[in-house]
Amino acid sequence: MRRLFYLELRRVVTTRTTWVLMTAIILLSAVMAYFPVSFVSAYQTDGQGNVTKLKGTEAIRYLKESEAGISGEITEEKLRQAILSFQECYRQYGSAFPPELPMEIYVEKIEPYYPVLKMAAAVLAPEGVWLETMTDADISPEDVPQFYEKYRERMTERGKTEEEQERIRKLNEEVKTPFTYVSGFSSESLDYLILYFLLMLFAIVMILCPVFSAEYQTGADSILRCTKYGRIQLAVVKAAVSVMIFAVTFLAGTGIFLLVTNLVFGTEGLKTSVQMINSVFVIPALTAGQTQAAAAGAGFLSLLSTAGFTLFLSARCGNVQDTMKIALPCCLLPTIIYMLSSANVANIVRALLPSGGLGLMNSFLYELLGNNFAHIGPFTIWMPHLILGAAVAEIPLFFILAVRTYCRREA
Amino acid sequence: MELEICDITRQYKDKCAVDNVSLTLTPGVWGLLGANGAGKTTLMRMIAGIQKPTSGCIKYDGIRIEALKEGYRDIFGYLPQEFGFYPGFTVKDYLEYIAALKGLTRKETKQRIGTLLERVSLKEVKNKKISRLSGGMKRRVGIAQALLNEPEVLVLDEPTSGLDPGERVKFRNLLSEFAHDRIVLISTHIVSDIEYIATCNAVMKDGKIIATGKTEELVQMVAGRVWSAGIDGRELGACENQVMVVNVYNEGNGNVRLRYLSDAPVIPGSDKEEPRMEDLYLWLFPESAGKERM
Repeated sequence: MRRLFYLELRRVVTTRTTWVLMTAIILLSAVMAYFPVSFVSAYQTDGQGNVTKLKGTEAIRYLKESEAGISGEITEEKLRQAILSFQECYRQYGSAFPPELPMEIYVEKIEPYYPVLKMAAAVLAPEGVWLETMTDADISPEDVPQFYEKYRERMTERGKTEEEQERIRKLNEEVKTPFTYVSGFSSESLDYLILYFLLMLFAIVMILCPVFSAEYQTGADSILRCTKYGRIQLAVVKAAVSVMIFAVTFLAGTGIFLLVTNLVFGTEGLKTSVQMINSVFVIPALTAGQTQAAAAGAGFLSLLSTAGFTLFLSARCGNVQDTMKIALPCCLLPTIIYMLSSANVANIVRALLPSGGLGLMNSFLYELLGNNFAHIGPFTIWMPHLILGAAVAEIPLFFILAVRTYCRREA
Repeated sequence: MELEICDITRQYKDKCAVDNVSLTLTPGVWGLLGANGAGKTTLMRMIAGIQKPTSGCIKYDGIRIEALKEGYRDIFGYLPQEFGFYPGFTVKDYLEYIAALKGLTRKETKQRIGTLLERVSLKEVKNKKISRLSGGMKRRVGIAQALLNEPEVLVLDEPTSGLDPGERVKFRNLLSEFAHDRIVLISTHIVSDIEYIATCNAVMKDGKIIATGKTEELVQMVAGRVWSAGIDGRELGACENQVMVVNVYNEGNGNVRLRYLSDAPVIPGSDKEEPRMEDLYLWLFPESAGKERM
């Protein structure tokens, strides 16, 4: 069996489509990891009032220096300073942002506190007011002692029903306060990781569609099935080789992606609380690094589940074209459902689909950073849990179905 | 050693491809004769275990082949009529892959591939991609893979199609040597292949086995119905309308000699001929020659 595995692996890897797609998707990871770097920008003054706009790695380096004052735990003192700085600017210039606020003042007084101010505005300002629209009257340093209490209160209010609120309260209990912020993590790198997974999804589906159906199409399986190990053993070996190819592609691609990201942005930013990345109203108790790892782990499971589903289709369809015609739209189905409806049934269906954790707007990561719940009978399930649960259950299911379908099929 | 086909039927939606066939195959070369659509390929695929009969069963040494599973496939070799190769594989890669599927050890694989490549004259092209080989060479690769595990039961569907006469002779010799103490079932349209090597034949028509027996026994079905006569070449068209012509031999001077089938001599001066398998084939399947039995 080991020899058969080696020969099958060699056969699949030397197929032009396979190695071209594998190489392309692995190389693409470095390019995609570097993209978010170009989005980082910062303003710097030279002391004589001249402002320069920095981009890329220069901006990352500068922001790390500029935000050094807020690095570490977001204590009451840091919050108070940030609010006072905002109020001072606002009172003097009528706004805390250029063009009303001179750029050099913005760089000096607002930019170093921006992540803290953004979070403070979301929690302490009245509902519907955010940092860019906030006035000096909307926020006060006196509210700071109640900041984390108010955060949990507002977080809970995000639940639409009592059950949801109860689930949020429970899940959010473990969130450690005060939050931690260390400059250097980019939420865009997470977005690009998700986009990268989506591209990998198509590559994997295209690699795996022919696994069984190409044999049917060419008639090669008439010979294979008549051999001693040509039934269940061959099907298992084919499935194992498919997993191996997927795993190598995923680990190499994602590994390069994370390596490039973390080398360029720096690993210290990974300690940042997930609540400080984009929106403060994020349920789980995770750091940026843990969020990155969770996104990668869920990506692996969702992709593996889709790989299993593709193999099942390949074992069922008579030719490669038919397999692709079904497999590729199925990969996009969760995204389509997400765009069409946000109803409970739609949420459940898209989460249960093999590629439920992958998509531009409906990925596991966005669910992890959001507060969507699915209601199944008496159960209120947080969407990331449902997506992960479905993927974990579907992986063995689809692989078993693929092997069984191949074995039962008549040549 | 015995392969027993017990009352097997394969029913498709609107067609009964194999209709209640029973046949016991014993060691030796068996020729399976029949026109296109007679059900030969379906029967062979059921013997290969890649198609299930609608009813009936196939037993090897008294045990149903489904029950034998791997044990049956271990002693089985099959060459389908049409089959695909992996385009990226060389001849050697492919045979190694099939050898692994057949459970051969590395040593056995090396030895068997070496021998077979020589036997089927593919040694020079062993490192060539199969997709670049000629039709005949591809067929020989197919024959080689079927023989890799030295099967006790070998089923070959149209093994000689695409082979040139020299290759066919080589193949027949290889098979005659190989068939010792083994069951070999061959279906072919090239009747002479069966005539030379088959120890027994089964004739299939409309999904049924209509006759079985040794070549000498079977040809007796047309004994007294095979004639030859010399005629003027200009009369050939008229004669073809009158009798079932097996072949025409040009004697020169505008004269031809006809070999034809008929219950009684039709052309004046006809001589009785010794029947051959080709005569039997045309007698049983006149439609294959575009004729109706006269």
